[in-house]
Amino acid sequence: MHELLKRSEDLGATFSDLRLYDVDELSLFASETMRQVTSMGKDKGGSLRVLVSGNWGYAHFTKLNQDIVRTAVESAYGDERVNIVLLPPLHDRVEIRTKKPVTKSPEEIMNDMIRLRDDIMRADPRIRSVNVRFTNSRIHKEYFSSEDREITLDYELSNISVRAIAREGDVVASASTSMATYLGYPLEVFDPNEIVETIKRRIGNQLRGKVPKGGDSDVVLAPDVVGVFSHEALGHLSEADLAINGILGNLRGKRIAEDFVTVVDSGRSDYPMAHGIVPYDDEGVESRDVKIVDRGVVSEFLVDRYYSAYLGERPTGNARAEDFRSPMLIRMRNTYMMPGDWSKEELIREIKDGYLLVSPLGGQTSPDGTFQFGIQEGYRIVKGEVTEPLRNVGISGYTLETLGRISGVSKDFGMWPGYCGKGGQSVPVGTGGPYIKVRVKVGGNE
Amino acid sequence: MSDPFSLVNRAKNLGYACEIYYVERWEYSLAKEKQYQSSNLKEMGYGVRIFKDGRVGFAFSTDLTDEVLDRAISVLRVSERDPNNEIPPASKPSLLSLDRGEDLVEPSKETLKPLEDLQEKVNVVGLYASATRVKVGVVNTEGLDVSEIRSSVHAGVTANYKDQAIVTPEIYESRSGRSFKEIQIDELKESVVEKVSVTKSRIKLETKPSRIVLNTKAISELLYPLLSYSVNGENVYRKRSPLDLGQVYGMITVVDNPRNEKSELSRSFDGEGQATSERTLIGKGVFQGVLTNWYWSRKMRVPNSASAVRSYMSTPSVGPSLMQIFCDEKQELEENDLVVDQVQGVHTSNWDTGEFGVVVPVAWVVRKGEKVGVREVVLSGDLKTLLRGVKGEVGSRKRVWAIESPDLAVEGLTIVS
Repeated sequence: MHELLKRSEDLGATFSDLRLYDVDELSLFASETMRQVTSMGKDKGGSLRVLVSGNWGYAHFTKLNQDIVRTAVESAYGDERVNIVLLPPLHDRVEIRTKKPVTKSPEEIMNDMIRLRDDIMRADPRIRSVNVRFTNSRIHKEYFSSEDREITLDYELSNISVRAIAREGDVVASASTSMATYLGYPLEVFDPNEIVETIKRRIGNQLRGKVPKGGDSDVVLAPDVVGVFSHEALGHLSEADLAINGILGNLRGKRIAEDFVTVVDSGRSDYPMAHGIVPYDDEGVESRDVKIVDRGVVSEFLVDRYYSAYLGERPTGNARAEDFRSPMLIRMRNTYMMPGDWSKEELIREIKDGYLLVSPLGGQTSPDGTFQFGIQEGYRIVKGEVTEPLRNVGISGYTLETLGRISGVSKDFGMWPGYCGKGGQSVPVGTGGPYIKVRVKVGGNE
Repeated sequence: MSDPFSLVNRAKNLGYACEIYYVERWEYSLAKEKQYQSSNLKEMGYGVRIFKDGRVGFAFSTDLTDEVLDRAISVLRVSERDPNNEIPPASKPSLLSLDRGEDLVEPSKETLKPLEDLQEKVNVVGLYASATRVKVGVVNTEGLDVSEIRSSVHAGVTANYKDQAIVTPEIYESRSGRSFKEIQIDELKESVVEKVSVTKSRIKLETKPSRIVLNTKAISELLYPLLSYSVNGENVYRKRSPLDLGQVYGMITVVDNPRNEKSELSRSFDGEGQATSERTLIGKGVFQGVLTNWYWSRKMRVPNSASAVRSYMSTPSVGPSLMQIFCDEKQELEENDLVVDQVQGVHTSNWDTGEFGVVVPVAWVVRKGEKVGVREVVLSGDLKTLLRGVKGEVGSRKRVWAIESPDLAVEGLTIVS
């Protein structure tokens, strides 16, 4: 066991764990006016957590020394009622290997970014401004606990994201896309032309798009949007710390949707963009799949060690911290709705007057069950046919009401990368799902 | 282990202009949700920028060694040759009093305790008290050597009403400052209880109000981020801002004031060590000033507003401090005005066009002098319409996080209920 843990026990800790992080960061930025390294270096530090007389104490540090233990023990504060699940001893080392390792120098990567930037600007002369960002994090984490758990994780996350602005007369349009993966260099794992084509299509649509009429409407949500819906509207409500004060808290075992609706949170998915990879969480807990909604019925919540004990639910491996500075919170990993039997075309044909909503701009939910998110690519559907593009669309509603209104789920399925914010921390997550047909409130500007 | 001065000298001897931004941060925080959490952070970090022949390189580390300088030098060629890539000059800021020098641990505990009384009146989701003390310094090869200690404190409550039948929206109320002595805990508690009470039974809006009133909290959540993006010199230069310099957008005045000692975003110098000062961004509706760091002031050929913001892990970008909003026109709160208190989904806004569509979970209308809660509405529009739609100020000035403003009466935004 690590010597800091022994010393914690000597000072009265009944449980302690130590997280050590060593992350090599590289971040590059290119636009039509500048290019530079915006971040590069080693983010190295740790966090010692102790349970003393039923109270948590934390010490986060960049310099490891014996004073850390005393700081953690002395910071313990509370009502002496913390109870957590303890786990058996375990020693493990996990390395997630890339398929296309990032072997290029920062200068060579920048040259690739410049080529991508130029391709985007050439794709549509109305595009005046482009941001291209590349980030790469080589992550080495070590976890030690007083239960004699020692876990080492090594993996790498890379992301390329683009945001472009175009003008035509008085109309301004903007579009974004990103490709993030744990498999290595995104411009080799994926086809860069897809980025160019996506930006070109979204810019064109935004410039000629119509603002939809606000109000309730039948819509088909594409996998990217269903993923964000599953994450924002349902996933957050199933995080145990939010669930106990929210609308899902009293609904375990209750039906809230049709049989064909199943929503899962998983620490590992084979989809390349499912970068919410968590083989072990930051409390050293093995990751397992959680069926939040199982065939229409509220099934399980996402828990950490504390809520596992509090709710009597088997640990799920959902405790995550953005970095060594941050406390662990209950967070999602890869959250998705399972596919069904319909085809995408069949779902669209069912709609007489509605919308196909393809790509979100992020979203937000509240524990009372309201959600809202923006849409950057969408189309009107008239008599079962996809017609004119839309601009300035948002959707909102009540989660339970909306889940109950899902009337079709497709076989087609996709996963997308995202970053989830909670408690001032941001962690990579995957979101995904099939196409679904549902009725929601569409917010426009007219 | 080196020290900033030795490393700057080493860079100079190698023929580079060099800047080191360093931080020693201490944070203490307490949270009571279902369980108590207590946290203590100590960190040190260094960001090293290198300049030569119009190129710039950067590296950071939590240890200051020769290696971090070598890494910064190694990526010089990634940047484009640009004469505006020049090291900022020496600056002698007049130092503000941003640290009261007092113990912050016990007052954090003393702040959390009385908040626990709220559990008898509302469903408390979380109680929070935290304090930060940070030493920030910048040295460079031009002779710049500035440092100061900044402290800030914060108290917050998340609460709602919950029973077997209904769960109301979470209300988050917080107060912040330089010292816990400046935070009025009773006022914070009263505000939480009143807002939970207002949202306990909510009506659906049957007719759309012709006017909304954004209170200071809503302004900090909605208008502040939209304005921050739009007055950023980089975004204006690259025509990514929805606002154009010299154009008129309504009648309010917006001042960025980094020298208000009560605001936790205030600073004597910015992330490049340059002395800060007030800047009028919008004067009686006219967009007249932008925020810049050293690079963007040179690029735009405007005086530097010294608005470089950064962590030691990144190069300086541009950001506001305390935004103060003034309006000459006075208005009274009228029957059926929709008062917006809290919005969600601002991050889904299109910053480049200024378009937004946000859910309003906490709002009320005034009927016969009483606040009547309103079920969720979607508020949409764009920044220009919002600014032009301001009809006047309502009530007294307040500071909420990075905004100091009266409530604003606004027309012209779309409400979907």
